[in-house]
Amino acid sequence: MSLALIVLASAITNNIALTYFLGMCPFIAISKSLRGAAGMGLAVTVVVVITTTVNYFAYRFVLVPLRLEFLAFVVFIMSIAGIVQMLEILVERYFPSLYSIFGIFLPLITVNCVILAVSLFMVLREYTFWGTVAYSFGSGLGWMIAITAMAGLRKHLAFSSPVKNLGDAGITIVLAGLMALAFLGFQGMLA
Amino acid sequence: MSGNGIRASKGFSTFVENIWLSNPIFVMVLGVCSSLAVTTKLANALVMGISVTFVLCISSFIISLVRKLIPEQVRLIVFMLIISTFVITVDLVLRILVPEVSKGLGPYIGLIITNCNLMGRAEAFAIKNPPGLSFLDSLGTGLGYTLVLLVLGFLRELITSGSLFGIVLLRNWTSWNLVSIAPGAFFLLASIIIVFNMLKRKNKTASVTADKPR
Amino acid sequence: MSEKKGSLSALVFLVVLTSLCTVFLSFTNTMYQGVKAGRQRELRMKIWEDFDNDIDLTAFDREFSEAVSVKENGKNIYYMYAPRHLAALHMIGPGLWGDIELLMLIDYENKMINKLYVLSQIETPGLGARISEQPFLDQFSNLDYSKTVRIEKERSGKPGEVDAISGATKTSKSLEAIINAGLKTFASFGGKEAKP
Repeated sequence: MSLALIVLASAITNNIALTYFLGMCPFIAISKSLRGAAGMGLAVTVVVVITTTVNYFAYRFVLVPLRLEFLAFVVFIMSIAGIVQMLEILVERYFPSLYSIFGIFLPLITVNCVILAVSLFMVLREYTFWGTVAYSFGSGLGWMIAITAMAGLRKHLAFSSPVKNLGDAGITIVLAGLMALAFLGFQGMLA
Repeated sequence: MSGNGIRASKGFSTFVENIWLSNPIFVMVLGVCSSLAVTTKLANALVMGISVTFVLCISSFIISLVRKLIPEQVRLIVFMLIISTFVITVDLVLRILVPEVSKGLGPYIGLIITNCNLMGRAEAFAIKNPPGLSFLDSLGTGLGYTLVLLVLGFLRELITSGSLFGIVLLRNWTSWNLVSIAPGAFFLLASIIIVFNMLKRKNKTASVTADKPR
Repeated sequence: MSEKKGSLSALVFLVVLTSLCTVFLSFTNTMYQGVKAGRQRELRMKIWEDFDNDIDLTAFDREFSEAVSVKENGKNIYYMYAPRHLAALHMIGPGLWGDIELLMLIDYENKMINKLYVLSQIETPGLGARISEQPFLDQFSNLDYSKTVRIEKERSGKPGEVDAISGATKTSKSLEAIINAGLKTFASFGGKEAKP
């Protein structure tokens, strides 16, 4: 499978938020403003590519040769936590303008399931190195598309009055369902 | 002193409150990912619920037990280390005891680590409260979570294949496959939230005393 | 100064905790590995029966290791039974949601698939999960694999084709990929080298 196909498949046809239900907590909590959603999406994309690549090396060249595959969860989450922390310090120090866009979301990212899930799926699907990069980038991009689109949709909710008992989270879930239905349409696009 | 009595009643009220009034999924909307992904079958939902409850309780208990020793600046990492250790334990135990279900949960068992409820309870409750209370608090949250998983699993398996726990109940059932994939899952969860909020509103008007700010 | 001391004690705490966790997990893992070995033995018995042999419980392990040559490649394990030109391919590969685990019996002289079992899968219920249903699997009995195995929506009538499950494109493609990759690896060391 070519790399472009992996990116497209993970971003569009099998969108990580709308097919695999991953990263739902921030998807619902942070999609209130377009700016916040885009910042969070960007942060997730950057972090997911870096952490998955690091975890790829950790898994292939440390855990597998030492037969310590069962420690994968701990190693992955620890490297994610460490990288996020480091990234936060670096971005704040050297790119203050960038920090104001997505820096504040970095601490939240460690417990974003997308990040860990992409590492776990990477192991499961046995991607090559470039496949891993493509897959993680596509997944981050797909999540960013989904949350930004959701924020755009939610802006329009201000002008409508959904069922009262649905609440704020409920209507977001309904919208997610509608988006998932729309994304289902892409399914036949890539064979 | 009736300190013991007060503590017990406080524990009980935290417990009940976490199951119903501040249910992790309906009210806090935390941990939705796995609740939608694993509930295509009732058996998976049950095992997932039990696993989450177990990890929640035991990690909260341990964190609370050593809460005075945990250095402030690395507490999040400590939480994660403890949580992921127990998640791996659960993963291995499930592989030994129920291999079929364990395979069915696939990568989602690992994703318990990032289930927001776990970090949430550790940070918001266990780090500040004694072990017994933290245990009850987590048990309530876990059971509330399991309850939603079971309702979702029950409806989704029944509607998709007309069976429960893999046993066919409704013959000649027309499969509604939409419920087993993403859009249907979202709609179903939203409908359950409507029902929950209706019930809760009714309850609230009936007894105002039960409602207290968190 | 006190800050330095604080971070030192934090480090010590982390190191101690990590070691404790690792020891605990290694212990659990050892237990699991034991169970896993037992399960693998059960699978070998199933394969032995599928090779048309009777199981003599006392001598099974010896008989099996004498008659069957075993090769491993990644997650896949290949069992070759030279006397009857049969082989069993135990293959694991990614599906839509998680691993699909297959056991495929082939006659490598005539390049025919004898039987396909889906040992485990977690595809979408009602759609991809239907690969476990017998009518679908029966299509693989006596299937010619001399070219490649293809799971098609519309069959062209060439050998090696099987009807796909509608609405489960990704699962069908994954299954096809797992089978063909397994067969290819098997051919690369299987057909040539028969155990004396």
